[in-house]
Amino acid sequence: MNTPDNQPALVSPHERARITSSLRMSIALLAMVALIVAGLTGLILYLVSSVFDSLTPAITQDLEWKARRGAVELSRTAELGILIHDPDVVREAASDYLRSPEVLNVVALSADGQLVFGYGQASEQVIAAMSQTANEVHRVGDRLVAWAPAMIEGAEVGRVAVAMSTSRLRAGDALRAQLSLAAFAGGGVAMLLALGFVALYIWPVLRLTQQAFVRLEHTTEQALEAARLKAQFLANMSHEIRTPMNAVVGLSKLMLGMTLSDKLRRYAEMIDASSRALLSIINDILDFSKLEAGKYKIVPTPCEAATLVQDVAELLSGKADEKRIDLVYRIAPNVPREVEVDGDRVRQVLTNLVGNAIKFTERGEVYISVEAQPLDEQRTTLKVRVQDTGPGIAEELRARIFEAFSQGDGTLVRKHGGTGLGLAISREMVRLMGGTLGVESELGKGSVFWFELPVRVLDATSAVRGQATSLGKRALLCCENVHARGALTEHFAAWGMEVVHAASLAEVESALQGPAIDVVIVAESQSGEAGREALATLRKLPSRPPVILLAQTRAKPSQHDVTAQLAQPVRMSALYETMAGVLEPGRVRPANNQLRSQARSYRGQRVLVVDDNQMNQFVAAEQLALFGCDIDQAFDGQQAVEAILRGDYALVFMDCQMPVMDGYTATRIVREREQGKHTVIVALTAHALEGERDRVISAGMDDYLTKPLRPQALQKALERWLEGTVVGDAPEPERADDGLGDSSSALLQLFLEQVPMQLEQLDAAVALSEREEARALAHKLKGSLLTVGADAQAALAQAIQHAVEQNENEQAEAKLTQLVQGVIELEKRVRGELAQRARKEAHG
Amino acid sequence: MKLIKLAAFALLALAAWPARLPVRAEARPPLAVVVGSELKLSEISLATLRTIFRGDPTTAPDGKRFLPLNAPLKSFERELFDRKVLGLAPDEVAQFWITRRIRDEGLPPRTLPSSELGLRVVASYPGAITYVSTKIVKGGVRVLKVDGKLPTDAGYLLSAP
Repeated sequence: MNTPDNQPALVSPHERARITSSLRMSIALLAMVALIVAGLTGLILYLVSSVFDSLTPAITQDLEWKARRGAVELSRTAELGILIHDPDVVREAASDYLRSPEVLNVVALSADGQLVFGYGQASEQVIAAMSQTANEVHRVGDRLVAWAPAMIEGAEVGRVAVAMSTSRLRAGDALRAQLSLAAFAGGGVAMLLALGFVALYIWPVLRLTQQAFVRLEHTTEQALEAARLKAQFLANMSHEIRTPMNAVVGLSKLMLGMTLSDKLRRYAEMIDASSRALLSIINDILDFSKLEAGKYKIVPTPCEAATLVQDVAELLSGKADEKRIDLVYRIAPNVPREVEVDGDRVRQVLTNLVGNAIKFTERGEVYISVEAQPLDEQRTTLKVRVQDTGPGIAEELRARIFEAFSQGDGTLVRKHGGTGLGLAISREMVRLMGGTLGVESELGKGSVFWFELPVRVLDATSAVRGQATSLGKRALLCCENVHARGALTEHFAAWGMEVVHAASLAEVESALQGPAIDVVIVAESQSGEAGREALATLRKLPSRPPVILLAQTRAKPSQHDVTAQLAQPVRMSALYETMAGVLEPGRVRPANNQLRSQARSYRGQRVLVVDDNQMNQFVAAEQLALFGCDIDQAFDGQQAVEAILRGDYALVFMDCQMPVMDGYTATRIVREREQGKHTVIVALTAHALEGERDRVISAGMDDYLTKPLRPQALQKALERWLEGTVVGDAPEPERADDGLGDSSSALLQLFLEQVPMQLEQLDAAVALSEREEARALAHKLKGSLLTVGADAQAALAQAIQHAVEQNENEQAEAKLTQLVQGVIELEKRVRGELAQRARKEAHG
Repeated sequence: MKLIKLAAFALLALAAWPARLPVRAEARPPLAVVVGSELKLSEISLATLRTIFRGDPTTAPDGKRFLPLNAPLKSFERELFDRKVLGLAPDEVAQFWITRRIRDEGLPPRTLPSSELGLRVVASYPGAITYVSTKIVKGGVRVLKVDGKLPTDAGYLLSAP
């Protein structure tokens, strides 16, 4: 790299090209000037020529006419002079002509040819011309001669000739020559001036400009190189920092899963909390650096607006739960179902805003609302508000909170930690997406952080889905939180339900005295006791409608006798399915799994489960055990082939993607080697893609199930293949919850053992750019996450798999960071769930 | 001084007065109609003279065509001749010739730049005829009787009034 003081000694090819270009420009300039000058000269010459070409005949004609007229006129006025041979009389008659400078000769001859009068030099030439035809003009030397007979009484008494000078024509010719010469000379002078101008002025300017360009290029190259090095450094540092940090985070998690003394547990928890805080800070700084360097790219993709908000709410519900704060969200009915937006960035911004709101709020609630303001048929503005009941922000601090490395109050920084970059990053991201981010706040009353994003509408139907199944049903909604009540009521209305509100125990009791209630929905509030009291009251009633509890604490099952329980923030689709199940028993399972009691027995049937993922193996084995099956396991295709050919299995569940040998190949080999028999092989695939069924069938498999394995689907498969009962492909019911509540404790324990380890392996593989391994690990991790119903985290694992396949390392790392956070939250909930179950068991 | 100037002016005026009187008082000589002395003609009638000067081709006794030559325009001789012979005032003469030219009935006689030239042409060109003041008549030309009278005769037609 060259510095300004250290210019290259030789002219570089690039500089040579510039000089050549500069020379070309100069030559072009000169050519242009020459062309203009030549053009102007030519034009002048053409004009001069045209003028003289038209003037010369006119002048000639005029001179000829004058000569003829003069001769005729004099023949009539000088005839008497001629008659009497008196030159004076002739002179008198011709006096006017003699005064004209153009008349060179006047000659009068008598009838016998004698000279009566002669004026001018070279008269003899004129006299000679007078023997030629009369009244015609004859050119004699430098003059035009015409003569006419002088007649008296019909007799010619003599002849008169007038010779006109052609000097006017000659003068014209001379003038033409002079003008032409002047034009040429002028053109030449102009050319010289232009050359001089170019040489003295343009050329130095060109040289200076060119030098300036060269210097500018050097400087730009240096700046770009510096920026590239900085970006490279950041990228390297990102890797270098994140990798050990992920190890610290992962290992501390693993440590926390072990049996530790209280002291060591406390240390491990401190390491865990500190490392996560540090990772969060590092992520902020790296994000900010990327934004500053303009490296952040916005990639709009089809997204469901409601899902974005639900994801964030679910992700942060644990934190809200810890602080005993209500976390409520509302999607307005006018929000379109699907929009085109960079979902990851929106999620990041919203996570930051909601995270801040939870962080700074000590009691009350955090309320997320999304509304839409249509711009036209294809575009709308999403208005997202995050409202908290925190301390609020003083007016003088409001402008500063968006500045980098700043928080509203220094004491808050110390208290809550963080980089102070979150809002600056969020605002910049929103700006990159074409939106604006702002804040409204009142000290002591809370804050509203909002952002507005213009987005393209892909599906204009409402995000609040209308359903007809619950039409006409009456629901008693016991909810103290105003915002939650409003959001739930909107959805109930969309589902065609009549809602009776009860915000206190008295109102619940009063409502139950009134017209029949079909279902009671109790939404717990962190701050109020009305929900719990209402549940207690309901339990005492001898006859009561079904009760759905929207619980604040996920891991804690209700101690009250409720028909179904969902954790807040609740997914409306899950609530709907649960409600439909409660109102129409048998339609779908309610939250409490009824399937197990209804399961048929397939005792004695040998089933082989082939999967490299221990968690998938566990889930399948656990569920098949419920049906009384005898289960064998194989962990890759090769083992599977050997087992199938050796054993006698009624059914084989075969994973498709495995190390050593994949499921497709294994099935092909089995089909080739089977002799006279057909082992039923059901594919287990994570690809919910069209065409996947064709692929597995063409590989020789008989059926396929998508992972994670659901009891209903498994039951149908067993019915279909073990009893020969063909059951139609009923749509898979949507999961009501994240599945933790449905997962066995053993599975959750396995999750704690397997997932952090798989995550760590994946992180190492991504860090080392081991693409194939990273892809396989991401796939495996996705399967593990799906077994406990962690759909959001599984989606991240799939995104990592995709990014690795596309060789997008940065994207993979970014997703990995999100996944680590997600898994940390998940782990916390799993631990909570396990602890709760342990306590429950302890209490009998 | 003023008086002397006045007296001098008066004397000059008196001196000039008698000198102009004779000019005014001098009678105009009559016009003489002249032809070349070679032409055998001594007398011409007023009618013939009128015919010749109205442009009608007229032949002399020896067969020559008369060539009428008019005195210069606006000269005393021209005006007197037109009035006496053609019986027309100058404007009427002009109108007469315009009419004839329009009708293509002939051209007016040549107009001489001077009476002296007329005498010379008459002397050198047989058939030429003009009129001049008797004062300038020279040799080489013959003065014709008009209607039997010479200019010196009483009752001569072309006498000045």
